[in-house]
Amino acid sequence: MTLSILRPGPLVYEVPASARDDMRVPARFFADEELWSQIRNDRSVEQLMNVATLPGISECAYAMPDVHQGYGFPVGGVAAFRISDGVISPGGVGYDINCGVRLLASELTVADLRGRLEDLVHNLSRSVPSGTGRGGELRLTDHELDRVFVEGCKYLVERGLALPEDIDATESGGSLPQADPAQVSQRARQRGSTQLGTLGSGNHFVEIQTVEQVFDSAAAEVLGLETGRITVLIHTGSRGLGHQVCTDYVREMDRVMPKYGIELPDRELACAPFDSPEGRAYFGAMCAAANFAWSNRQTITHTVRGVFERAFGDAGRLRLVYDVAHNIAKVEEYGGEQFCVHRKGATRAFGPNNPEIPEIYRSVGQPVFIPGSMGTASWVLVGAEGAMTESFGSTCHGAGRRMSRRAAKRVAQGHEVRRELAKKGIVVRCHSNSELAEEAPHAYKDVDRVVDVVDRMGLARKVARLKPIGVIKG
Amino acid sequence: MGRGELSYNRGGENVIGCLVQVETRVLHGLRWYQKKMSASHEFFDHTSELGLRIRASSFAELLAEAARGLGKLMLRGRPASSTGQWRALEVNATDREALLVDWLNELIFHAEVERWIAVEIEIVAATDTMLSARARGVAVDEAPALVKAATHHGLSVRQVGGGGGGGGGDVEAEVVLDV
Repeated sequence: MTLSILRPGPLVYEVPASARDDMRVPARFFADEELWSQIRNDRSVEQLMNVATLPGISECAYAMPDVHQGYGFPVGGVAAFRISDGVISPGGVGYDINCGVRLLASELTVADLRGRLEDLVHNLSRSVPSGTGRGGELRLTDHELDRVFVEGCKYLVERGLALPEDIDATESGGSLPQADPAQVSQRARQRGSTQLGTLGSGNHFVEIQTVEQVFDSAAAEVLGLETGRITVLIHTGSRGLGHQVCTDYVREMDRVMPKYGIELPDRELACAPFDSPEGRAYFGAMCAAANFAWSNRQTITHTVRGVFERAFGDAGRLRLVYDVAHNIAKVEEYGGEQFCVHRKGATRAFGPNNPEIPEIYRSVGQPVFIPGSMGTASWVLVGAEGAMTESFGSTCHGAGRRMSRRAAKRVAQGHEVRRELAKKGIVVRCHSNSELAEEAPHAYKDVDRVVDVVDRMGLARKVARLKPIGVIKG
Repeated sequence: MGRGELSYNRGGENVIGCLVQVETRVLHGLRWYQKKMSASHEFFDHTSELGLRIRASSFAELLAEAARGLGKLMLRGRPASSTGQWRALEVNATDREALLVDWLNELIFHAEVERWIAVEIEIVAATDTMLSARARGVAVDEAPALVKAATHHGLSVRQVGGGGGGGGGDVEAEVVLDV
């Protein structure tokens, strides 16, 4: 079937709601010509059209320029559902609930790391547990796990794993108040009880970087970023706990959908009305898993701080710039109405003066971090006013895969990827050559191009470009 | 000599009885081997995830083959011999497709939490909504699982190759794994 694609703007491609009988709203993609040619080559378009069929969806189903085929929702998809008559969908958040990134900044420069980078990367890789099912040193009792679910990072201040100032520098203060531990299954607890402070596998990482270039000096100053300084970017989520919460509730929603008369083009979009027993139960469990994820990134931060301070003393202190989620559903208000905004591989990007933004950053907009692929640049952005009017306060979340893992391995093997990164002066630690090959830069889109689109669209503004020098891959 | 042709007197009862038992076991083993050989699986590409396609002569055997495929994936293709006791596993779901997903998620859970990967699987009973199986597996030091979950995306279980419930065809299924 040939789709008729509308062009409401130079960087907007839209499938009208009339394209399929079951679509309630258009499916809108933000992309330039090159990215659009990649997007339409996988099943992202069909998947976003499927999202557009869900009850209570408002305005459009949106895809960011890094969008690629996922399961149910495409990765890079955003959808806002009216609280009054809309749904909540576990598949619209994904298995890695509150996967996200946080940026730490230091006063160190590249010169301070000269001759010490190998050791630093080595010590980080020894200290931060990685691998899919790998547990950490922390073993949480059920009571402690409940406190993580309810209080998130605030509990970690009491445990000595977070600084008081870290709380304000985390999206939602690292704790969603709607968390309900009673809705988290015993199986999810079992998967999560040993995984706090662990990186996981796949595209998760801890990366040492330098601020390569500043694009907005006023915003960079507010964020405390300066050319040549060392930063650390941490990318991970809620680990097995989140995976199990999603598994439990996709199953549950799949079972109860007939009761609500919901029919879907894809079972992975299984959903229930937000205001239903099943919808409320999932939201309570998802918020608990999100709080676990923020606590996970915070616990890793504690470990990374320890490694830096042992290596560099007071000079190695790391300040948390901000932490953002990119797989989450949140209740937000737009135009006086409440919505459950699903971001699956998309980042909240509130523009300046929003009360949700920490006071120190409020004048410039919410900090947003866009990790590139391994070995390529990452970006610091700030949310812009356009996001509030064009995309329910959302922007992109990364480079976005363009090649399957097997295809990536056919292009280059792990040892070749390692050699290429070494040539660029990047030290890499990864326990598996195979996984290194799967995450090679050629498997991803051009992150600079992705960021360029959101900047030109006014969804977020460029602040700084970060260059990797050391990577610990999960 | 066919089983129906067996005759024995009291003096040779034990010997012939043993022969019958041996023959029964051989036939049972042969049927199991033929079924196993007729089942197959392959992985297919997905931009960010991994697809698993399974084909078998029956839905029960398809479930067993799916578990073998998942086990190989989690062990990254390393050869493994099962050890230890057989353990019973049971799954209930709303239909065939959901049963396949729930079955794989059951095995993913055990792999991650118990560091135990099922590699030898026998289906005791299977309907469209219920599975009773027993399995022996490999204990691993660290969960080598790279699979987060089996998803319902693009999920299908269908009769192929002259099927239609008459028993003449195979059953084929596709499931996308979040990796």
